[in-house]
Amino acid sequence: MNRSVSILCWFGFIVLACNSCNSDLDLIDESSYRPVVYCLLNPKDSVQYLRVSRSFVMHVNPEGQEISPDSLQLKADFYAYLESVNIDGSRHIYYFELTDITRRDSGMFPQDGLVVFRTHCPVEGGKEYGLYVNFPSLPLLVAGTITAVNPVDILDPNPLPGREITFLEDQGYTVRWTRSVKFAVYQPVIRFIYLEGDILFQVRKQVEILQPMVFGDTEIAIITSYLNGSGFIDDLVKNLTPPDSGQRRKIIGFDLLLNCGGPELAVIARAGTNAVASFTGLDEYSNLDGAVGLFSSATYTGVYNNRFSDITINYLAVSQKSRHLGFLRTDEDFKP
Amino acid sequence: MKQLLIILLAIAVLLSGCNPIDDIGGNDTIIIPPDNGSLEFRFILPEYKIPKEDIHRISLSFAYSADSMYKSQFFRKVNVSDFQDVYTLFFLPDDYYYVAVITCSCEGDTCLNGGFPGGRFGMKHNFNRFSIEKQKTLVIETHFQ
Repeated sequence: MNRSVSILCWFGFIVLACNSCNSDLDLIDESSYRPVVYCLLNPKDSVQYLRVSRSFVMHVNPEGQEISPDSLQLKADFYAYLESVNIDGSRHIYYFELTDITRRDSGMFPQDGLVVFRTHCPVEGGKEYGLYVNFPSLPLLVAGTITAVNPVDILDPNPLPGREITFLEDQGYTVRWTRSVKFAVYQPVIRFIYLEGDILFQVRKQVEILQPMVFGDTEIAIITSYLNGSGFIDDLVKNLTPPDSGQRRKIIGFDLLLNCGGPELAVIARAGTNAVASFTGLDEYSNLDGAVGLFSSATYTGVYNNRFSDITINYLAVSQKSRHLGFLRTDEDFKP
Repeated sequence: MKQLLIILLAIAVLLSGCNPIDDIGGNDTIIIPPDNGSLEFRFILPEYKIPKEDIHRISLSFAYSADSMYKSQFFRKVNVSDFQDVYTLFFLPDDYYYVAVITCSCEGDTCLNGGFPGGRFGMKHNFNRFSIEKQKTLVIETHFQ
C-alpha cells in the first residue's frame, strides 16, 4: 500500500513538474512606459502650449527597426492645467485644451495623434506657476512648479542713427543685456541680412548664425557676451555658399536675437555642453514628478536693423577669406 | 597689565590688517605691443540739461589725415557703447585724427534746447589731432560744446 502511495505521489509530482506554468519574462512591459511632458511658458505670449506623449523602448538600432506609428502616443485619458500663484497667495487655474489635429511633421513619427494642447494664460516674469497633468485611469498625477523668467532687454547693440558696428578679424563686439533671473541660459543669434541678384532683380536673403550659449549665474544687473570678430567671419563663410554666376550680394545689416531660458533649461543645456564631464547623467533630467520631460519658461527679444560699418563691408568684400561670397564694396552697386 | 598689552597688540594687528578690496581691482597695467603706443580714450558724455540716459555715444573713428577725416575715410572705427566710458587702442607711432560723435534721443525740443543741431538725433562732434609715441600711453578726454 505504502509503495503504491509513493509511486502515485512521484507520478503526481512528475506530472505537475512537466505541466508547471510557463511564464515568459517580459522585459519590455507595455505598462512600464512613462508620460513625456514638455511645456515652456513664454512671458511674451498669452497662449501657452503643452505636449504630452509617452516613452517607449527601442530594441535595436532605430534605422533597422520599423517603429509603430503610435509608439509616442499616450492613449490614457488625462486633463492638464496651469496654476498661477499670485503674490497674495491666491491661485488661478487655466485648463489646457486641444489645439487642433493637424498632421504634424514629427520626424520618424508622422501621426495625427501627436497633438499639442494650449491654454490662454498670460505669464508674468518672476511669478510662480504649477503644471499638473492628471491621469485618473492610471492613476497618476504629473506635477511641477517653476518661477517664470523675466523678459530681457538688449542694451547693446542699440541702433541709433549714425551708429555702426565693426567686425574684423581682430575686432569683435560686446553684447549687453539685462539679467532675467539669477540662473538662466542665453543664446544670441546674429541674423545676417543681404540682397542677392543683379541690377534687374534682387532677393532679400538672410542667414542665422548661432553664437555660443551664455550661462548667467549672477546678481549683476547687466550680462555681457563678447562676439568674436574672427569667429563671426568664419561662421559667415561656413554658412554661405558663393552666389550663382553673375550674381552679387549687397550687405544690408543684421538683427541680433536673444533667446533666454529659465533655470531648468539652463541645467539641460549645461549638461549638453559638458558631454564628456560627469554631468552626463542628466540625460533624463526632469523637473516634473511622475514624468520625463521639462517644465520651464523661455523668452526672446531682438534688436533689428543694425548697420555694419563701411570698414566691415569692404573687408568682407575683398578679404581672402570671404571675397568668394560676392559681397559688394560700399562704392559698388549691382551690375547688369 | 599683561592682558591689556595683549588686547592692544591684537587690536593693532587687526587695524593694520590687509584690505582685501585693494586687491580686487587686479593689475591694470596694459601691455603695449612692441613698436606700438597706446591711446586711452575717455569718451565722457557731457552734462546738459537733458536726462543723461538720452545722450548717446554714436561713433569714435580714426583717420590718418585731416583730409581723410573730413571725407569720412576712416581706417578704424570703435564699437562704442553707452555703458563704456574708456576705450584703449594701440597704434603705430605717428600722427592721427579722431572724431567722436554723440547724439540726443529726447523727444520734443529738449535736444534743441540742449544745443544739438536740428533737435532729436542731431549730432555733436569732437575731433582733434594726436600723436602716438612708441611704448607710451596717451590719454584723451572728449570735450563737447
